[in-house]
Amino acid sequence: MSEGSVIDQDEALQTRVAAGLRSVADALVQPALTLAFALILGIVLIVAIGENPVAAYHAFLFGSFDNALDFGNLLAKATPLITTGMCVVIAFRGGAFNIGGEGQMYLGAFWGAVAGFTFVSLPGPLLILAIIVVAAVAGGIWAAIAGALKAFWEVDEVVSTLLMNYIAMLVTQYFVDNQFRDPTAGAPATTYIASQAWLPGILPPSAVTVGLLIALVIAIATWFLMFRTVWGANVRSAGTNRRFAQAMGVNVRRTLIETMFISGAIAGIGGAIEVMGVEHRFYQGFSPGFGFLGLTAALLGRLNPWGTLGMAFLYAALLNGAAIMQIQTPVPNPLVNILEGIIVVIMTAQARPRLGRLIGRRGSAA
Amino acid sequence: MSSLGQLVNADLLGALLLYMTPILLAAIGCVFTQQANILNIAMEGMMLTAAFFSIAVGAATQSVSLAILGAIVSAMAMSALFAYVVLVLGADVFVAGIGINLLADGLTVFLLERLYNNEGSYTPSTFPQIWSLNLPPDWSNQPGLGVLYHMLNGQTFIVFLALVLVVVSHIVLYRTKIGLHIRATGENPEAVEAAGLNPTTLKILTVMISGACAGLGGAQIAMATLNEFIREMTNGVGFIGLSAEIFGNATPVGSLIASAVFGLANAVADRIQVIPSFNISPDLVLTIPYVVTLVALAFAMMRRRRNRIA
Repeated sequence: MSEGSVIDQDEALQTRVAAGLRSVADALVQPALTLAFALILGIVLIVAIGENPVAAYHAFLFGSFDNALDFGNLLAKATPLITTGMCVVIAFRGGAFNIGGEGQMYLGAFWGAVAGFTFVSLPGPLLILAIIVVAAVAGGIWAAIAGALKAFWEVDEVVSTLLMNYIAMLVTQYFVDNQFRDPTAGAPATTYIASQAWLPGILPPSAVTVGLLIALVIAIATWFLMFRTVWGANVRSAGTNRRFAQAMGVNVRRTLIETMFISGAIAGIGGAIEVMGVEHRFYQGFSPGFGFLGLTAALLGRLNPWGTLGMAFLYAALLNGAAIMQIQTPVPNPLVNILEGIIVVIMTAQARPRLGRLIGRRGSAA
Repeated sequence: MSSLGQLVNADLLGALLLYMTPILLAAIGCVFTQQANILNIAMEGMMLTAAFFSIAVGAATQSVSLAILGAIVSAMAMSALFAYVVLVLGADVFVAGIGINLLADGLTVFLLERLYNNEGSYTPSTFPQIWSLNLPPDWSNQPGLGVLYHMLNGQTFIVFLALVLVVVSHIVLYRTKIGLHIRATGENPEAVEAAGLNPTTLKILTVMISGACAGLGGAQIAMATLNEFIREMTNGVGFIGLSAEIFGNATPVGSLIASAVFGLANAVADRIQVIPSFNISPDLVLTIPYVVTLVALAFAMMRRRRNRIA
C-alpha cells in the first residue's frame, strides 16, 4: 500500500466529515431561524401587553435548568413528545399524514390502563410489557383504519385521522363516564392500575420516570426501523414516490397500512407510558395536546429521528419554561401555544425545497 | 313510536338549521379554496378566531354589527396570514394549515387568560342580542304555521344569509367570469396565466373568501345561542365543513346537501339527550357527526373511484 493512497484516504475522510458537518449545519439553520423568529415575536408580544420581557424570558428559557426538580420535570414533559414525535416521523416519511396521534394515544392509554387493572396477578415487568402491547395494538388498529381507508379508497388521511381523534376521545369519555368509571375519583378516570406496573421515578421528587428510557428506546428503534431495515427503505420510497415504489415491487397499499399501524402503535405506547408513569390510571384530561406538540417537534426535527428527539427536548424546555414563567411573572403560560402556532405556520416557508421533497406529493397548494 | 315522534318534529328541523349553518359556511369557504386546488385545513382555526373576537368585540362595544365585523375581520386576518405564508412564501399548505389552527388556539387562550383571567371560557355579563327572526307567538299552535314557527323562530340572520350564500356562490362560480377563472386556477393554471391573469392572485382571493365565510360561521357558533366563548369551542366544525365540501364534490349545492346531513346528525345527537325515553349516552351520540362524516367521506371517495374506472 503506497503512502499516497493513505493520504488520499485521509483527504477523502476529511472531505466527507466536512460535508457531513455542512449538511448538519444546513439542517439546523432553518429550525434555528424559525425558533429565533418565534422567540422574537414572543418578546414583541410580551412588550405589547406591557410586561417585562427580560424577566419573562429569563424564566421561560432558563427556568428549567435552575434545579434538579425543574430539570426532571422538563424530561418528564419531553417523554410524550418523543413518542408522538416518532409516530409522526414514521407516518410522514411513509407519505401518510397521520394527524391522529392524539386519538391513538388516548386509545392506547385507555386500553393500557384497562390491562393494568385487569391482569393484576402478573409480576411487574410482565404486566408493564402486557400494558405496552395492549396499548400498541389499540393505537395501531385505530391508525390502520385510516391507513386502509386511504389505501383502498384514497380517503384523505389528514381529514380521517382528525375526525378519528374526536371519535377516540368521545369513546374513552364514554367509558370513563360509564362502566369503567372509578366512583371514588373526582374527575372522569378509571381505577388505578396494579402498583407493580407503576414506573419508578428516576430523579425524585420530579415527575420524570423510567418512561423516558422507554421513549428513548422507541426513538432508537424508529431510527433503526426506518434507516437500517428493508421495510423502512420501502416505507420511505413509498412516501417519496408511490408509483416508483410500486414499479420497484413494493406493495404500496400494504406498506401504507403497516406504516400507519406502527405509527399509531407508537402513539398508543406513549399514552401507556403516561398512564404507568404519571396518573397510574386513565384520566380523560391527561393530554394537553401531546399529539400536535409531537407533530411540531417532528416537523422542526425535519422528520429525522435524532432531530425530532432533540426538538422534543427543546420543546419540553419551552413548555416547562412557560409554566415557570407563569408562576414567576404575570405573562400567561399560553404564550407558548402562540409561539408553537407561529413556528408551525412559518416553519416550511423557507425550507420549501427540502421539506417539500420530504413531504412528497403534498407540494405547495397542490 | 311516541319517542320517535318526540324526536322527529319541527324542533328537530330548527336544530338542524342551527347546527348546519356553521358547517355550511365552512363548506362554502372550502368550495372556493378547493376549486383553486387548496386543501383548506386552516378553516377550523379561522372559525375559532372569529368565535373569540365576535364575543370579545361584542362585549366591549355592545354592538352586534361590530361583533360580526370583528369576527369577519379577525378570521380574514388569519386567512391572509395563511395565504401569505402558503402562496407567497411557498410554505407547505398542510403544515401551515395545522399551524394556523394551533395559532388560533394559542391566541384565543392567551387572550382569554390575559383579558378575562380565565383560560377556559368567557361569558360576558351583558351581550347584545344578535339579529334573529321573531315570529308571532300565536303561530306556534296553528297548523302549517306551527312547523314554520318551530323551525325558524329565533334563528339568526346568519342562518338565512348562509342559505343565500349557497345561491350566490353557485352563480359566482358557474355564471361569472371571475368564477370561471377561479375554477380554471385549480384545473389548469397555465391557461389562466396564458389569459393574462395571475393564478396566485386568484388563489389568494379564494383564501380570503374562505376567511370571510369562516368569520360568519364562527360568529354563528359563539352568538347564536350562548353568547359566550369556550376554549376550542369550534370542536372540529371547520374539519366537518371541509369534509362536507369534499363529500359535496366541491360544489355549493352539493355542500348544502352534505352539510344538511351533518347538521341532522348533530341535531339528533343534541335532541336525543333531552328525551328521557332514549336511553343513550350523550358521549356516544356526540360521536355520530364524526362517524357519519367519516363514512360519508369513504362512500364519496368510493363513488368517485368507481366513476373514474367506469
